[in-house]
Amino acid sequence: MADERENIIEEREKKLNDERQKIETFSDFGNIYNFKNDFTYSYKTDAGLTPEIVREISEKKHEPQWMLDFRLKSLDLFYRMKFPTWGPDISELDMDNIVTYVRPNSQMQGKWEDVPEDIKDTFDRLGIPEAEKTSLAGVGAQYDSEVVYHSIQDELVEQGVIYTDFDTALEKYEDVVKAHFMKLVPPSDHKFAALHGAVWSGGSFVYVPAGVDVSIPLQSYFRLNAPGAGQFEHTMIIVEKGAKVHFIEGCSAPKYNVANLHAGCVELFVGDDATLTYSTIENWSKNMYNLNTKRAIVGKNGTINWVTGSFGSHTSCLYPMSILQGEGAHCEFTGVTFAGAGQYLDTGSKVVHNAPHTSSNINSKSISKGGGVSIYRGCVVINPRAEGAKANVSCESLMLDEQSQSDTIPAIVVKNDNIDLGHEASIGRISDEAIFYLMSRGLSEDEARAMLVRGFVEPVSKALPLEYAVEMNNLINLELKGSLK
Amino acid sequence: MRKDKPVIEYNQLPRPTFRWMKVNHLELDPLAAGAVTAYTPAERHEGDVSVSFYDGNGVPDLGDFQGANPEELQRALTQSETGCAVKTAAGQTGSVWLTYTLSEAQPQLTGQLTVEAGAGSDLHVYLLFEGGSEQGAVNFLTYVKTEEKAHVKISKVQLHGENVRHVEHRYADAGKESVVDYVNAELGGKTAISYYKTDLMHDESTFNSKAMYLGDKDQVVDFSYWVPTQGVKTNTDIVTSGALLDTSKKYFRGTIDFLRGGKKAVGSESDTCILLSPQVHSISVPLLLCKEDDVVGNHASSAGQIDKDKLFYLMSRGFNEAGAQLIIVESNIRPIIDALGDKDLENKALQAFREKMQFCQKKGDCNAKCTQRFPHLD
Repeated sequence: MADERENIIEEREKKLNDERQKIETFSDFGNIYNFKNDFTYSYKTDAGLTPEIVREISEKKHEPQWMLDFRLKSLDLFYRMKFPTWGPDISELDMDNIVTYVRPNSQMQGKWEDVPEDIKDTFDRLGIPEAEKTSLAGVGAQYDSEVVYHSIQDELVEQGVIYTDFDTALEKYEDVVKAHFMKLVPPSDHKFAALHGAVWSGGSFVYVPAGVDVSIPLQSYFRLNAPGAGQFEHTMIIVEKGAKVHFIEGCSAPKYNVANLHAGCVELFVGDDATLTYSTIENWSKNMYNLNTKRAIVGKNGTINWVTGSFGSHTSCLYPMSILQGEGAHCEFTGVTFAGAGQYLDTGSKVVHNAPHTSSNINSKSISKGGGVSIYRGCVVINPRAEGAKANVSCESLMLDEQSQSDTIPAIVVKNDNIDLGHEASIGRISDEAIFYLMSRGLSEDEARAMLVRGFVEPVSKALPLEYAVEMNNLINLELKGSLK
Repeated sequence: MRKDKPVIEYNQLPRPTFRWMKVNHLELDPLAAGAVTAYTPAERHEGDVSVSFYDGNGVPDLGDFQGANPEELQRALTQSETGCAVKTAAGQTGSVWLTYTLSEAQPQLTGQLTVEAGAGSDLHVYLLFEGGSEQGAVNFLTYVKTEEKAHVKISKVQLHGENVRHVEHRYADAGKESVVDYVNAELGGKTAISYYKTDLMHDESTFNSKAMYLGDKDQVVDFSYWVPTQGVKTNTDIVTSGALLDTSKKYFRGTIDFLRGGKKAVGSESDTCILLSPQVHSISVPLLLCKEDDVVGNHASSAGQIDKDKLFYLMSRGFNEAGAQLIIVESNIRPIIDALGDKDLENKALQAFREKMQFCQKKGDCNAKCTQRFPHLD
């Protein structure tokens, strides 16, 4: 009996030690994102935004005339459009100081060995080649404004799957690109969509033919190393009827004293009966303005799953939008946002129900600490044609101290009567009773809080592949490290 | 080239969101303002309450309160046709009934009401807005001030005719441990706009609001609440419930603003809408703004058709579909009507609700004789 008791105590002690060790080791973990390489490049434009710079970018990329025309038209729109009148203050973002195009010291490569040593080292430290070996079907890696590495498993190529960098796609599949490029997110959508249209560079193109199931995820990783630069990658994914794919996007940058800008654009075309899962773990540095636009259009009985973890950047405006265009189309959004000191993360999800029997489920969690501002901003629009639509929105916010801020700003517009809509939100802090309980079981206060926060975001962790769930938990532990009172 | 029409913006959201959704405010055509004519509402009171009527402005400085629309608020402050001051002294209890009636002789009304409750007093104000006119408009400002441990309840029934634009700006400053209660039945008017701001800056102050509505034809009902809370242990509870018929629209904009320092505050807001026609629009923007961690805030919003199981059950018991619908919708809004606290007002609201439901359900056989919105109302 005494032995059994000792064993239980020993086992419990071991678990606690493991937990403590995890929290300790995460103090080093942060450095894997914040290392800097020397700023080298083969070519870069001057800071600022002029028609000459836009022409320069287009010329360097040897683009067709229609793309140059598109860029110039977008630039004109950018000049004419106003900054948003809502959301975070972005007045400190001065486009005259942003370098919109930085070409790294490398061409696009198909083998890691051919990537220059310093860039390869960056992605090695981020664990990308390792992940490629163990858990990915294809990898893309962008460094500053251009993709430096792209690969895809041969068996997927045999099935007709295309996964390539966007410049190659524009060259090899021009008709497809022309038919889809910025059709979902037109440059007139908002000022930063226009900016993207003018200076976009890099990104990934994925095409999954009808009926093909890409069972192992594809991943693109975006690294911005240049100080004071912008990254404007364009991601386009076309999933044909009945096909299935999981795409993972990761992003990070070292921290500089000048503002960096990310204004990427993601356009997802999900065909009838197709399924696309789009996962993002975003950990931009705390000097980054992340003004990204993501949008999906979903066909009959198709499904778009968004899984989003937003941890980095100084200011974020990110609201992945799903347009449920075909009957029975479905959207699932699971997101977590963690705003620490000096961060203003304005994130959420938008869903437009445009067809009968469409359904959506939004599940958002946000955490703020150390004076960070975390905003959930979302919307659900159910249009007259969407008879029998069902929508459910749940947003929960957790505040970890009294300096922080957490707002929920949802908007729901219903335009027909045959629908079923539910929305709920809650805001508050970690319950003292729960902490007391865990501390009475032997955990320190920090450990107890960390455990409760991990529990709070569990629905997001569960939606990610194991490796990324671990990464997300690590990020949470890193954010929590030493900050809890 | 498109010529921009002049519009008036009502009920601006304190924290605007996506412009394309057109939910940040309500845009309406401007109304031509009528001549200012003095008006005195019908009044009676009970208990220890003082009621006086005044000309000009009797409302103190409202700080940054903008009302439903800043220009209309200014007009209510400077061009009021009727001012009424209701007061209870410390520890007293009283009730006041005020009826504002529009007619072709008095098609528009710009008015003020100040309600001040002394420490520990209990004051109940019953407001009835009725009558109509081709160019009917009401622009009304209510100012509420409660001292420590006072309780003010305002029950309002709005039964204007179907051409009336009814706008009410209401500002309340709740004292320590005081309670501000609102119960609203918005049944009339072409457009019914309420903009209620309640400051809970003092400890343990409470704001409760219950509102019901039934929209029909092209009616627009727009509720806007803004409750900044900075006192310790404040309590906010906002409930709206109603139904929409024909092509009517409902907007709910609720903002509970937990400011830093307002520890142990609890706030909740809910909006429930039953959709009774394919062309109705239900818009809901329930905001929770939070700068204080030691609070609990919740909001919920739901919209949908009548529960088919309930409908089937009632029809299986012998009710026709319209009757069954009436019972189900009424069961949703009845607790709010019952909370008005005056039998006469409750009956008027209930009867108006039933008339409106029947008027719409029986189109064709009673449309000819029903020339008014509430033809059978006493």
